[in-house]
Amino acid sequence: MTAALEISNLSTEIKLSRSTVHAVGNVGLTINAGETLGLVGESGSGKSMLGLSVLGLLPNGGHITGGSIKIEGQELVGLPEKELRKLRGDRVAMIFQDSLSSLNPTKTIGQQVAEPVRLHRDVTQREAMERVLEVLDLVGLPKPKERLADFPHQLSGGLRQRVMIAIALACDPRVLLADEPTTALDVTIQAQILRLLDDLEQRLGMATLLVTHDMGVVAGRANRINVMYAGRIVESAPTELLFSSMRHPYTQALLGSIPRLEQDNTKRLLSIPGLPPDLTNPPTGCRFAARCRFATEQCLQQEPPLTGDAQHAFACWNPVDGPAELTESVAHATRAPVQAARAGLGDSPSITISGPGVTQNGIKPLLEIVNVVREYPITAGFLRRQVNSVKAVSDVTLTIHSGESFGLVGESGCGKTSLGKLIVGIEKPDSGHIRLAGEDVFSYRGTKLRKARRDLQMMFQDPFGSLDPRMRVNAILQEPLQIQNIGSQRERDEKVRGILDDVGLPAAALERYPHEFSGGQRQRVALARALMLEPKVMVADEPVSALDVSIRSQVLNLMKRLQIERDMASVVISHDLAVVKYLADRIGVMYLGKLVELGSGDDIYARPAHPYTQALIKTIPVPDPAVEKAKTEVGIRGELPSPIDPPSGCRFRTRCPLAQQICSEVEPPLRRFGGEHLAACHFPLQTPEPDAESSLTTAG
Amino acid sequence: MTEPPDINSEQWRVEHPWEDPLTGVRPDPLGGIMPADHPLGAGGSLDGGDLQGISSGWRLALREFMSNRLAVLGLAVLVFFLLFSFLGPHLYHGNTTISNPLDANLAPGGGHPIGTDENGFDELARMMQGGQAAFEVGVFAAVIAIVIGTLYGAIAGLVGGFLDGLMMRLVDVLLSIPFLFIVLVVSTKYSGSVIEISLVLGVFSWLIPARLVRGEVLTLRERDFVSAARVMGGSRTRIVMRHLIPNAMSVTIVNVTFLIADSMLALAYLGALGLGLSYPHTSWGDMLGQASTYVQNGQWWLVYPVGACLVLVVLACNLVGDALRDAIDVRLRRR
Repeated sequence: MTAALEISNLSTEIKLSRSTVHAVGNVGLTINAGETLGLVGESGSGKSMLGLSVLGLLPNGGHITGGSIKIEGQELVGLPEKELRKLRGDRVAMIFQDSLSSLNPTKTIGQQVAEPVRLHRDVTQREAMERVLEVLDLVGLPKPKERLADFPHQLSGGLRQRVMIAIALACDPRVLLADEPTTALDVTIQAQILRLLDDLEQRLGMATLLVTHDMGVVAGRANRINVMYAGRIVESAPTELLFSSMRHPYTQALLGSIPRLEQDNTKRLLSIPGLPPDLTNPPTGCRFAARCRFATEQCLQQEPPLTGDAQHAFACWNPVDGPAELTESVAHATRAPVQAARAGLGDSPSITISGPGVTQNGIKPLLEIVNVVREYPITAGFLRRQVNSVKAVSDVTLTIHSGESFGLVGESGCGKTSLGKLIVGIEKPDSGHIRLAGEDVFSYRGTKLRKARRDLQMMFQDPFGSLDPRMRVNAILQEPLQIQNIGSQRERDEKVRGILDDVGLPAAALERYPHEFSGGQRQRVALARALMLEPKVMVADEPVSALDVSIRSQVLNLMKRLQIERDMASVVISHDLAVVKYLADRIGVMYLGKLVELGSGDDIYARPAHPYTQALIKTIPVPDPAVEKAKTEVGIRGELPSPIDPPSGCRFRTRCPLAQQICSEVEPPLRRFGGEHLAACHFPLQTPEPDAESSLTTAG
Repeated sequence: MTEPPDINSEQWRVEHPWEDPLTGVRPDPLGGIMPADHPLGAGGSLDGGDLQGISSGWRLALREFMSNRLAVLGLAVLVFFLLFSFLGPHLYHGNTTISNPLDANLAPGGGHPIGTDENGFDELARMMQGGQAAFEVGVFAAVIAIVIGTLYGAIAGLVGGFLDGLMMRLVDVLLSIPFLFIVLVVSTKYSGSVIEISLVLGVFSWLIPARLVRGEVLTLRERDFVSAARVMGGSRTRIVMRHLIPNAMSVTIVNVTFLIADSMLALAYLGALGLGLSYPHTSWGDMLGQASTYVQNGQWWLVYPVGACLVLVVLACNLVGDALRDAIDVRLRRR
């Protein structure tokens, strides 16, 4: 039997004005019909270029320098453009990452799905439309007939991705290239789309190349996984074998660097030091050697060939055997005082939600967020009349104790970032209070407010936007001290140097501009800036979501260490429950502006009380094939309702499998489930404490 | 801004970058630091990765600019005409002040390399004089326009809300009045000297820069680094002076080059219509206007050399402006 897609010895280069990027080198892979091959790698590893090479859609200056690409035996390399065009969208189709920019905003989805059919099949308009309805139904677009005349912007992200898949499937391709098909989507939608892809592949018998950076995504669905690093395939094995007994140190480090839900969060993550090599001038020898802790002299001199049997191949001189154990504990300093304080809190049932400024057990909470509401007005018309509002944060109450690390998790649009901005005073609450050590700091004005701000600092999500491109790192780090007028110039210099060292950057970084750093290094600078003022609370908004997998664990380890050493309270905001669980002691789950569950990491992970929390845990892709393949349900149906007009009663009821009549009428109050574990649900998955209800009425 | 520190001095030396500075503990090998027997040396790689070689932003921009052949050509043309206009008169003396009918309309040759005009003025010397006027008016008018436009746009973008709406509607209204018409009306009253014409042109061409700067300020205002400065407690003045203005500069710089070109063209229009500089000053537009009646007589030297000067200089300004925009973008481009 001929393989659906067979690539051998493929090399691709991209010529730039002054240099050449050797994007793909000597890559070979084979996918049979009905199989999925997972291609895993960091950004810049050449995995997308490999996909684009197959389609002949390389960017300007890109060209295939050698090797062959065969689709069902037909050679594609060297085929004239006209012949290639016939293949594209017919026998080979591609799903792109960003559905918003990949769909044409001026055409209806019906026209766009029909386009490949009209191009490749000799059909009438009517027949094409029949096919469109068929595929739209296949990809699970609800009521396809009514949506044919919709434009892309009228659909949600998840539905747009379904339309993209429909376009790819319109001509029954033999090979489907999916380039990060779910990266831009929320976890709950990601699970739905991945399930759809699985289902389609089985039903249609296509060969799928699933390109992704996320080990969890491939774990459950790929038959085989190829790991790519710096333009080379470094390891190739069937999924189970790769996860249970990988041989390449890169694969091992990549898997060990992903924080997991079930993992003990006092252990350091495995991290890969340094940065991937520059592909315009790749190193001789093994390309991973500079970052590999097993490297020897030989690795620097000779490039290891892909060896091993057809089943399991790897390119390494000093292979490892199976996954690494995480043994090293993060904690250098002890956290005893904080823990003791919090243990004391747990004894008192009514502490977490209490009247303003009340001290109990002699411990004053550091940060109190009391009934905070933030709504962004929607205006219309010439006079900017307010017609409605986006309910970003609705009546959230929580307290954060000194030295505590608190995590906020939720889908995009749940109001977690807005809450973070409220805490540091970038936004002002429409009602409610934010108190730091009992004082309503944001009611201050002028100099007093400016002085108070030093205790509340923020680290932003996008390391490219949060540093002023016209300032050197030295000026960036000095700025907070200048503004707050702290110390002499000499003391400031010393402090800057100390912090830079703390975040793992050399002193030479001081005189550089932000654009001279990689993403991970910039995020270190951003972290250093947030720490300059030694704040009492630091808010970190999606601190690692813009970073590559191997860089992510570096920053996570760093943040974890600094959190402990500095004994500062932090609020970590992320859409990734695993990241939050790794960094935080206590977690709050948000849904559509409401805090639906609050508890320790174990409470949330092992004993979720709210159906949303449980579903969220279920949807997160776990880098473990056994766990992923055992998953039978999708988790959450449907999509996040609009925060402009949230559902009445419990806001989760529209997607909740347990919802009853009462859920749409009465908003559930936060109830206690033992200790500090709280959840707002009428039909919780755990038994609430019976006596706790009366003391919690302030929450409603 | 403070001087960047000398990182080679003893004060800045970091003893062990891989050692935990607070506890003195070396992080475990699994945590990202190389073991002692690593061929690249123990701790050979910092956890955060090595830094790339220093390339200052401006140097990067300069390299990008210099690699653009058209831009370098444009720059060369500008430098040539600057020398021609300002240094030329010191090396070449021709009659531009005393009317001499005997020398009128002489063809090139003899003592007059590009011939003479109807008044017997030396054409080459007049071209140099006209060049001076073009550069002076171009630069003055552009500076006036950019200063007004930047301030106006920055205020509108920063204050926002109602005032922003009002200010920008005013710009819309002014933009819908034909520029040349209003300049013509005003210049019948105030024109004659370089300063007067520059003022007239500058005061009526700040509208587009104002819009551009406002747009830039609006996007910059929402950037995270501005939020970060606010979170640190930075005052509004500081945010404007340290963050918004330096970042809006690139738009401004690029705009200046285009404004210079536009002002030179406007000066030429005015001159051709007879509303330009008054005797003894002249502009290329004046010369073209006077010469237009002689084109049919075959006296080509009165038209083409001057026309070529004008076209070349304006084209060069535009080329340099385009290349500057690309070059400045490169500095800030994401990697």
